[in-house]
Amino acid sequence: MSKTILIIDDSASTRQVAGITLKSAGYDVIEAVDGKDALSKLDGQKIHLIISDVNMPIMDGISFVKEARKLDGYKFTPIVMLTSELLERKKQEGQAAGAKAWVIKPIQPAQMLAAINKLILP
Amino acid sequence: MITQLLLLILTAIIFYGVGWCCATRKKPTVHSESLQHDTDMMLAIESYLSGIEAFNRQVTPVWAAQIESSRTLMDTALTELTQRFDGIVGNLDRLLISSHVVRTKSDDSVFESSRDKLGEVATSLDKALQAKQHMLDEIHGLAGFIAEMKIMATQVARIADQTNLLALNIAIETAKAGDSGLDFALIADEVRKLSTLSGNTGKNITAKVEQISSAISSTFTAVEQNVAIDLAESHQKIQQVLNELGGVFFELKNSSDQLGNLTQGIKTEIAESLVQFQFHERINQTLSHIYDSINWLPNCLAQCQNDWPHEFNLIDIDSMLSDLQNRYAVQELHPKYRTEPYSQIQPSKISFY
Repeated sequence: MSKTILIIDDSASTRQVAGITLKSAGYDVIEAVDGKDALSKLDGQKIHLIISDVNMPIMDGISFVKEARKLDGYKFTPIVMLTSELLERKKQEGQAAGAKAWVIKPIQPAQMLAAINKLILP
Repeated sequence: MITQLLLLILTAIIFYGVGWCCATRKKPTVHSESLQHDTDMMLAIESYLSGIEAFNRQVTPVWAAQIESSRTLMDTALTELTQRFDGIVGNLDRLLISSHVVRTKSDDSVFESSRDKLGEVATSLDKALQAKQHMLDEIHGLAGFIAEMKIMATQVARIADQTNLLALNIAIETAKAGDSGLDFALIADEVRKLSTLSGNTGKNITAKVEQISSAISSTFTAVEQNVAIDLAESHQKIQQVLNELGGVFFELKNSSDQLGNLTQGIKTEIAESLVQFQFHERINQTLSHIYDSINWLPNCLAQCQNDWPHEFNLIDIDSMLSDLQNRYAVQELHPKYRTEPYSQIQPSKISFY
């Protein structure tokens, strides 16, 4: 049975580009436009890994990570921050919130899949 | 870049204007001519500042709107483009699945199985032909019986002839015996009739045997010829079919392999090309900052003129640049590096916590 990955990004093209790579690798993909939308889609279903942008309207990525960690069933779901942010301060905020990795774009599909393989839940 | 250039030009113009005014104001004169000159200068400066305000009100919003419009168009076009790529990749996946199915069905095991089944058909055909040959042998055996029957018919005819001759001799002796031999004459007549009948029967038997022999001989010849042709032709046709099927299978498998490899190659190319779309977010960010800066400019200049004509506040360039620097999260886009060319893209960095 294929594993499910949640992609959170306010840019539709970014979600689609990531989705193409993940679907080609055999993952099922769920998309969300911001942190609030992502929380509504968690809703108890099994998510093996989450990829989130940082700068988003309504609820940004860091806030989403903090909220997701409060939910039963998602306390240990690996969350990868995929962003253009280079500021060290932001990166530390991500770590403090509970993210598992900080990935700076652009990223080759093979690199993304290698990182996912390392972190994804069994 | 555009924002900084605009700021520099406007600042230079304002400084020049203000400096010129200050320089003029530093030369006090008690003459009414000088006072008039100062008044004219103030009016000129007022007019100049009004012009700048009008520029802010009318031109900068147009710049801002054009940038925002371009950003929106780019965003929409890229979103549609990635959707199309998503569709293309989906079709390629379906093509790969079909190609895999064809390759699975056209592998060597299928061909071997077909060849085995055709071999079984050939074996059955051989058995049928063997049975036919056995029948021919039986028919050939009948030919021997026919020869014997011919001999028997000849013997019957000879017996009839001998009997006829005997009857004739009896008739002659009976005639010699006169009246006392009349009974024997009757017997001789009957015997002669019997011999005639036997002779005719023998001839009929001979004729029939000839007919049967001729029919069997013709049939035997025809069937013997057909058996030889059937066997050779059947094997030849089966081998021909197998060769043709083998060729078709081989070509089909090759084509399917090539198609699968090409499809996978195209998918890889698309995936790597899509990496470039990740820069869309940076371009989007940059255009958004330019939009914000342009919209910010009128307020900034208005603040400089707040205390006019008592004094003229200078634009805090350092503060503006510092604020801009804090907005750009990406190193390559920092205003600090604005004079440097956009060099080679840094490889992605993955940090695991």
